[in-house]
Amino acid sequence: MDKELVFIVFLLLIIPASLFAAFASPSIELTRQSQIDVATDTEGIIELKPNNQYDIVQIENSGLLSISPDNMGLNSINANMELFIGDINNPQSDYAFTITNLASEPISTEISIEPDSSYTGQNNNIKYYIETNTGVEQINTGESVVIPIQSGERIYVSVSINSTDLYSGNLDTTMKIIGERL
Amino acid sequence: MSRKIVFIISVLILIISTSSVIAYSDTLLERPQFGYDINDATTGDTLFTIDEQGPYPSGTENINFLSLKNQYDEPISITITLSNDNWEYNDGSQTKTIPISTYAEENIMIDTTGPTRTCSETDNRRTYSYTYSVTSNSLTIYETTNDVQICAPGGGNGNGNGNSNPNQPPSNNV
Repeated sequence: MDKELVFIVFLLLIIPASLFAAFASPSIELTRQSQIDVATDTEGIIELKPNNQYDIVQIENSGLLSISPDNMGLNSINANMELFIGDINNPQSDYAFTITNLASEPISTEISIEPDSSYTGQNNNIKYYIETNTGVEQINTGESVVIPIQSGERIYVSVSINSTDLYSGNLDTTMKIIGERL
Repeated sequence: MSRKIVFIISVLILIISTSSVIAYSDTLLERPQFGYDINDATTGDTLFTIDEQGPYPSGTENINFLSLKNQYDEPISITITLSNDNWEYNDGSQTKTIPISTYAEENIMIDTTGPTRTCSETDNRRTYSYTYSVTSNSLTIYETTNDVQICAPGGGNGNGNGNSNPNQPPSNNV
């Protein structure tokens, strides 16, 4: 057997070791430039944009979307209260915020409302109503929905905050969006 | 010769690695929504607030009963019903609906003059209550009842900080 062929087979058998050895070798240098700018929610691949009509929905200084009485300088919602941010039956006409796919390809999004550890409500105290091309999807706290969004498509989200029969406690949640290229 | 082969293999491995990174294109966004503590309107830090102005002396035509503040970004309307015949609004009514503009504050005046407006003979005070509800285009605060106290003529002052909400601590009425 040719000596060079034996040497090639030997290298293939020890790929991990030879790979690291190659990187460590001063005779080989590979440079790969990666430029990833961190954008705010209004400029990211998945754009989250508040309806400026509502002070309670804001892009915070950090650039992240926030729906909170904190945005109005308040700490709390009222007891025994129901608040709709946007039209829950027709979010496209009046919404709390929008989600837009700014990528050049369709994305499957899984949108969920996750209760924080301090959350003392039930699963129907915070709800999202999401309008897509096929209708309005409703998710409760602790639930998720998968919605495909085409490139450039915008979907509309209204929010319901409900403290009926609650006189104290906490309804802090986290909205989570997992996007996956279709 | 051996260095050349190592270089080719390395490049191949790098291409495979890069491809796997591109294929894994999941995006995860987490947006905390804080500030949803739940409080009674008398605490002052809610979307709609009530500042009880007690003590409430009896025998007075114009008492600044409540200060109402709309801290939400649209006009609201509040309906207050005085739950006891011994109190009335200055126009003689028991129920009044008051509009409050965005970020505005309104004072509610009541009349406690009248033959039946006396406190308990034993302790010179009596607990009265009012019931309120708030509505706007998007906000509804369902009917809630608060307790306040009023004094008998010449009997000193009561304290208006009572509250009958089930989960609120007892009021500090004197």
